[in-house]
Amino acid sequence: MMSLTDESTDAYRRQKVYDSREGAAGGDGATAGGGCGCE
Amino acid sequence: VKTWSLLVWLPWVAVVALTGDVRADGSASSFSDAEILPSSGSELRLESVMMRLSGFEQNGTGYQSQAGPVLGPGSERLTVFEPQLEVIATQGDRLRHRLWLPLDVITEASPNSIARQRPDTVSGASRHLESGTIDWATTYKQSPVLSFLMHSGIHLENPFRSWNAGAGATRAFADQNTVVTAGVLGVLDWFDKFYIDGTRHGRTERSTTTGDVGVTQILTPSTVANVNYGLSAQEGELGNTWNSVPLSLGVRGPELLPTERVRHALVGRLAQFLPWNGAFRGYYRFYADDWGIVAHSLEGQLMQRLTPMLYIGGLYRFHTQTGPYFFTTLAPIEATLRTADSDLAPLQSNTIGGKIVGDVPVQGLVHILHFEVEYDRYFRSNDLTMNIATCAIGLRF
Repeated sequence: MMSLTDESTDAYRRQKVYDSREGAAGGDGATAGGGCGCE
Repeated sequence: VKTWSLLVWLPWVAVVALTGDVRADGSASSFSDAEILPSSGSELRLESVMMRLSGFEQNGTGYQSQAGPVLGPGSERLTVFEPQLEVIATQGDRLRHRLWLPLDVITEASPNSIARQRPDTVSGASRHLESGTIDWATTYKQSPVLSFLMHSGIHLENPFRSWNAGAGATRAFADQNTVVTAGVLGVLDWFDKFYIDGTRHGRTERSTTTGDVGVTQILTPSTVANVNYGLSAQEGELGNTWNSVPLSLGVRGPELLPTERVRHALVGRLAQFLPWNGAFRGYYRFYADDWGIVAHSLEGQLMQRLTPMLYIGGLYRFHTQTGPYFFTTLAPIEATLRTADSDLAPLQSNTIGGKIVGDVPVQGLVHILHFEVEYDRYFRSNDLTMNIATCAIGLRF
């Protein structure tokens, strides 16, 4: 509960929404590259 | 079919692991892990297994989509089914491995409408797309205060290949109260290039290089904070190549994007224990890039422990962004840069969500059975909504 971040697989699925639906991804340790059909 | 077989398989893994010490006479094992597994200092030892299944259902419209009127916004209907498997194992006292396998099964209205106009086997495949990633990270603990990380991965999907590799280091100071991290990551994407009518024009690529540095500090016995700065530089084809833009001539043309992009992000995080057995987690992110996008994201999570094994959580996130200087919903024919992608538009978005999380101690090979159920609702100011449901089972050995 006191972790600074979500559990890693939970963080990934949430961050994927933000990275693919908002034009402000990347730059903070997460990659702005990679890709999938939902981009 | 593969995904559904995984669904059947996941609960059986949990059952087998939970009953791992059952003997023929029905009595519980009296041997410890150390007695059963002799330690030579270099063998792999399973630490945890996490299995997560998520579903995304998106509805809305965007001017880049051809699934609608010629000059009007088209459908952005999208469904994604995403299983993930994460395995963490240690090797001796110094090495820790993380193997992570996310899969995606996607159906999408926009490429579907392109293929309907001019079907071809490659863009047809992207209407219903399966993709997967194999990602392996290894941490080497040089000393109690110094660790190094190596990371590599490959992403495969029907019209797309991607490779990534990175390295990082973590150094602790002041009796572990301060931790400094730094890392670099390179990504190469190689993918099919389409024209907006669905015809294929060979392959294209882009590269991304990211560097980041961060500091985590224990402020009080109940407060932890983190600040992180990251810089990404991208070069190559920076769009998906099938996005279209309505033109003033009354037809659609291809999206035209710069071939370079430099992105900055500054993130602050805070975790605070609350005296009524709760916790607050705060997050702020500032973002700016040389396309002219400036964004602010603010998020808060409140968690409340109900029993020693169970807690609930609620989440709210707000995001606002400006658009790039070449964003338009109706471009003049002479424009050399143009996009109508609704994801790049000036917008505000909101996320609300709630979750239930449990950690149940069990007897046997597995020590903790972890489970989560969560629902999020994402909605944007420019006509896009998403329902997201996720559940997870974790085994900690």
